[in-house]
Amino acid sequence: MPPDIETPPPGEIDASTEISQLVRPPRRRGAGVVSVFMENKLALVGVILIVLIILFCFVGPLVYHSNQIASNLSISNDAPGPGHPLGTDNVGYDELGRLMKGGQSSLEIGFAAAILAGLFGVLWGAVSGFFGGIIDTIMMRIVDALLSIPVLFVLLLMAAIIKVNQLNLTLAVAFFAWLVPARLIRGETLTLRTREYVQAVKGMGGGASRSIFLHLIPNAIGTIVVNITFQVADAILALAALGYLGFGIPPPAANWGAMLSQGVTYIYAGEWWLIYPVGALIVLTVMAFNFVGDALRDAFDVRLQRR
Amino acid sequence: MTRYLVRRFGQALAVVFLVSILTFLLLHLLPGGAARAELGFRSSPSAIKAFNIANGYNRPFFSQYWLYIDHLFHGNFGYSYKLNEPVSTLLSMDLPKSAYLSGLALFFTVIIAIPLGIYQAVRRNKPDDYVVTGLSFIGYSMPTFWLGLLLIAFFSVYLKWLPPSAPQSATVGGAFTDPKAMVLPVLTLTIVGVASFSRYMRSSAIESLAQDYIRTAKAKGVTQRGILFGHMLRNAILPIVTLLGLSIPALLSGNLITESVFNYPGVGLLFWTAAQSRDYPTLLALTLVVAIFTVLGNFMADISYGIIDRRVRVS
Repeated sequence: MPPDIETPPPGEIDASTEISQLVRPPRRRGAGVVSVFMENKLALVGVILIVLIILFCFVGPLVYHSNQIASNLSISNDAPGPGHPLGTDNVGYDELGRLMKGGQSSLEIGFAAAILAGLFGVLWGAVSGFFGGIIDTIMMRIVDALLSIPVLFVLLLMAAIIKVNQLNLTLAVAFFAWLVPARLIRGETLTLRTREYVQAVKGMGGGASRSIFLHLIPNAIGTIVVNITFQVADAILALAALGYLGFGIPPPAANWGAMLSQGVTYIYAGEWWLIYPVGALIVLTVMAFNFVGDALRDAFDVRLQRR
Repeated sequence: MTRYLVRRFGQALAVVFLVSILTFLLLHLLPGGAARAELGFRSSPSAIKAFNIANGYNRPFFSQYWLYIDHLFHGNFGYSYKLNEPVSTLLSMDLPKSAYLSGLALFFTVIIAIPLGIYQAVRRNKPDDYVVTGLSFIGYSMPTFWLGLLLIAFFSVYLKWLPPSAPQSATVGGAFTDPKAMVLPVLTLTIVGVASFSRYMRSSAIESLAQDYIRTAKAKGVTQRGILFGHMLRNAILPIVTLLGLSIPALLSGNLITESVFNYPGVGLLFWTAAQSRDYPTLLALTLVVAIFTVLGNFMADISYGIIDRRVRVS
């Protein structure tokens, strides 16, 4: 069904129905998405949480100044108190400031990798689905092969071979994250390409790139946005795991996973401020993105709306 | 069915072939090649040359790949110079232990997640459904290592009921004899698994409860139990089987993290320690093995898909 024209059920049509009532103004679908999204309270919580976390990580350091460059062993593992609301870590860095700094790299890599992966995956999937046949088979077998390599193992392998920095970590996460969107978009394209409007483009002599960029991809935008949201959550989780295993971005840069694994050393000493704030922050961030992704999926899925 | 199986098997083989090329290429992308990785950066040119000749690294590229494949088929996965042991020996020691951990966790995941998902689907949008959904969202967003640490903090540090480390025995038999130490690692993996699978099961069950055959069954007067287990379950479980197959990389990654949190001497811990000591032959061999397991898992999921759903066999 083309999105711009909605025909009311047959029973509602009679002689007095104007043509203009049958043909609704365009962009109704977009408005529906927003309203369904807003109705979902969890999604609202998710969006608010994401905004708060972004403010905390990027605006926080402008307001709350702390020394994150020079270590100071004389104040290592201090309990929360004046000057250090969340205490200090094992080399005397202020824990609250460190949380902000660690969040910056997590969010930056998460967003950059998800967007990069989304763009590439969409292109790959759309091309594969549109052309079909042997091209599709080859392109999808490549995706299958890469999908059967567990990401964490390869990230560890990579970190063991080369020195990790923000750029190559982003690229590495993106390298495995494009596979799922590619598959999803390919599936979407397979059904979309048989639609009349895509056939019409073909009939009027429009090329493949016209069909893909102007017709297939815009119609698959829902799937793309939902997937990118989940990819951000997954990327942040993967980064935290990598940091926890000791292969994150090395100090003086901060990352949440590494902070947690350092804090664990003191779990028996009862130094809770090294573990619980950072753990809670990881869970909150990932959960916020999952909430939003879930709500977006509901908002874009017309079948679910009808129920 | 046979044709379907043959075709799927061919695809699985092609994927394994691609992965083997990938790990082989990675071995060649090592800084300074395999010789420098093994002998160290201060090794003399003559030592490197001798190493390359001894290991066939002076041969043409394709001949090297052929040698690599030939070794793999003879069970030779390479040699860990750091641990001074063939990788195949390390694997035969650690693989059963990982399988034991994953198997137990998967078993509990399935027997908890499927009934839970069905229950949620039946009680859809009621308070108890919301509570379970909320919990599974938290579980789903929880990094595995953080969950493991919380469980250690609560059960080992605070309550002192369970040991914080997994069984340390070198053999899988030793792990069997220490069930108390297995509780926390298995619990960690199970919670993570249930959180995501109950969610899939819920939406799958909701989908199939809306179908016409369920309405027909209701009209015939089939009991609630009969509808759920006679009509709905077999249809709703189809996507779950595929998802199980597809989630094997995630399961293995979860295993790696859980094994490092609880210091359980399985393949995951082996991989982690190999990464720390830059033990490249072990890392590459394990990557290949893990990939083979994933492909195998997907293949088995497809077969069981064919067994559950007769329509798949025909097409």
